Amino acid sequence: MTNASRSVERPMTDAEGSPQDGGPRSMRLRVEDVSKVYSGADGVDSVAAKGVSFDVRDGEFVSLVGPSGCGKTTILKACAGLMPITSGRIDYEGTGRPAKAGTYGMVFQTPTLLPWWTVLENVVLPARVLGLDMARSRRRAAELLELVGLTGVDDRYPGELSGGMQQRASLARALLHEPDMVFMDEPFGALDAITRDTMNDLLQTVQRELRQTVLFVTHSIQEAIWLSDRVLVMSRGPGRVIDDVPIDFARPRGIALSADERFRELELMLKQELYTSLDAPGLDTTSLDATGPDQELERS
Amino acid sequence: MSTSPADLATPAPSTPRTSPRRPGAAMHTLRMRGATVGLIVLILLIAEVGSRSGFISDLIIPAPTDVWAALLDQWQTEGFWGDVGSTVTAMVVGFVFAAVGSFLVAAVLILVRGLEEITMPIIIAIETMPKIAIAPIIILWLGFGQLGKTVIVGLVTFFPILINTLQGLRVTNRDEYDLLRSLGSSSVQLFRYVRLPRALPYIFAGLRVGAVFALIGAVVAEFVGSENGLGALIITARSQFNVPAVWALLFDLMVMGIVLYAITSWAERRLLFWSKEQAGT
Repeated sequence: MTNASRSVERPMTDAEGSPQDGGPRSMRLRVEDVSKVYSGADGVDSVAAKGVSFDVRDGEFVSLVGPSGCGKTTILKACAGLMPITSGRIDYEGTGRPAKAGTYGMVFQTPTLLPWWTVLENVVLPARVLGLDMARSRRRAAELLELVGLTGVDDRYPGELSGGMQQRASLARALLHEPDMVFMDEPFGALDAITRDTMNDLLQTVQRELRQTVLFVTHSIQEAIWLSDRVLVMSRGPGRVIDDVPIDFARPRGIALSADERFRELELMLKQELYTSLDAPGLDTTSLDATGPDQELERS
Repeated sequence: MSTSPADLATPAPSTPRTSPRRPGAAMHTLRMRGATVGLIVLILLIAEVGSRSGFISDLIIPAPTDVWAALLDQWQTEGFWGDVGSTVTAMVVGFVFAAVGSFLVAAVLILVRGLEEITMPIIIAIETMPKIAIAPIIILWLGFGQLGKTVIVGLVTFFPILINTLQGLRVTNRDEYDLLRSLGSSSVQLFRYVRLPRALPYIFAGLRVGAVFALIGAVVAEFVGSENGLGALIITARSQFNVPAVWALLFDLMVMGIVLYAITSWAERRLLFWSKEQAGT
């Protein structure tokens, strides 16, 4: 499989300027040969990830792309210290361990807002748990809510908000305690395509403002290319990182970028890498056309 | 960091919670309520006619008008409200103690690792036992006074509330747990911010069952032996073949039950405005 993906010709991606800020960056997160085995109740073990290695540098937006069940969420949670790994090493800022709880932000696929609290109270949850100054945090929460385009809903309850609005609030919450890094686990996967595009655009706006280091899990190749400085491609379970592709389109990136020749070439290349591991005859990569409809990856 | 458990779930007075209804819906509700009242009137009418005509013995079902007369008579009898007070006090005090006690016990069982697993078989065994059957022993121990029946009320209401609370505290939402853990929350914080609010719908289900049990517990305790209270009055009225008075007392008990239920569901609506599973009115 590695051979197949290596043989794919990589389009030129050095023409239109450098990612975000250029310059040398120090290592933020290093994942070395990490494997995760779930022991099933019936004695049958299932391997979720096998020998995963990659790194994330300061201020970098890195996406993990892969089909469902390739273990990308497992890896993300392991990096956040929310899930023990079976073997390998996760080193966050030279500590030799995963990221420390309370120092990073987390966005889940579901907004995970607590329904008994108002939007504002939900956004200040990190301050409450970490024991930060509440008055200051409320002011910051209001600013963040404005940044994510949520105004006038501070005192509303999550149940009164649309899915997209809830996810905006959850993004604001992840940023409240000025985290060193943000982990996002398919944050827009449950949203409709239009809301999703809006959220991707919003995320770029937020990134311009805050320059967070982000590890972003998604199964949308377009989304990954659009948002990332680097895309890591994972094969189907047991997942491994089969390619590490720098994306250097100039920012800000608009929706028009998806019509760009190089964007489509990249998309095709990533699809070829992914679909080679999927064993689906209908997705024969030799006849795949980048201009064709966006195939869903869950065909496995 | 300064929230008390009470403001975990502050209600939203400004929020329009009731879903916008179609204009026809209010009319429909009104019609249905009218039909309910009509049905009650019809049943009372049948009882009245059946009893007055001698078709049904008034030892079995007295005429509703006689029951009404007995009711008015009781309300003016000296000492009657003292009996009501005795029953209500036993019921309320026993219920409150059981609610607070079962909540504290549940919290300890959940927070101390392994304790719940060890004690659960015992709790279930006790729950399965008809606790009302302990009433004679409790009365024997504690006497015919207020204490005996209060303890009986507490005993019968404690376990249903405890079991519901434990069930509620076991509810887990993976993402909510991960969210709190990602912030490095302590188990007490996790309990306060997520587990307790998530458990509230279950706790209230337990409280509603408990409220019904409290009434049963108080009355049965008074049946077994009590100096006063509505249960004792029922025994007395029955021994005098004063059937209308027995029915009148049953009516009083029903009103008490409805009031208790209304209070718990009012509290539930205020605290659980966010929950989709809350009880109807």
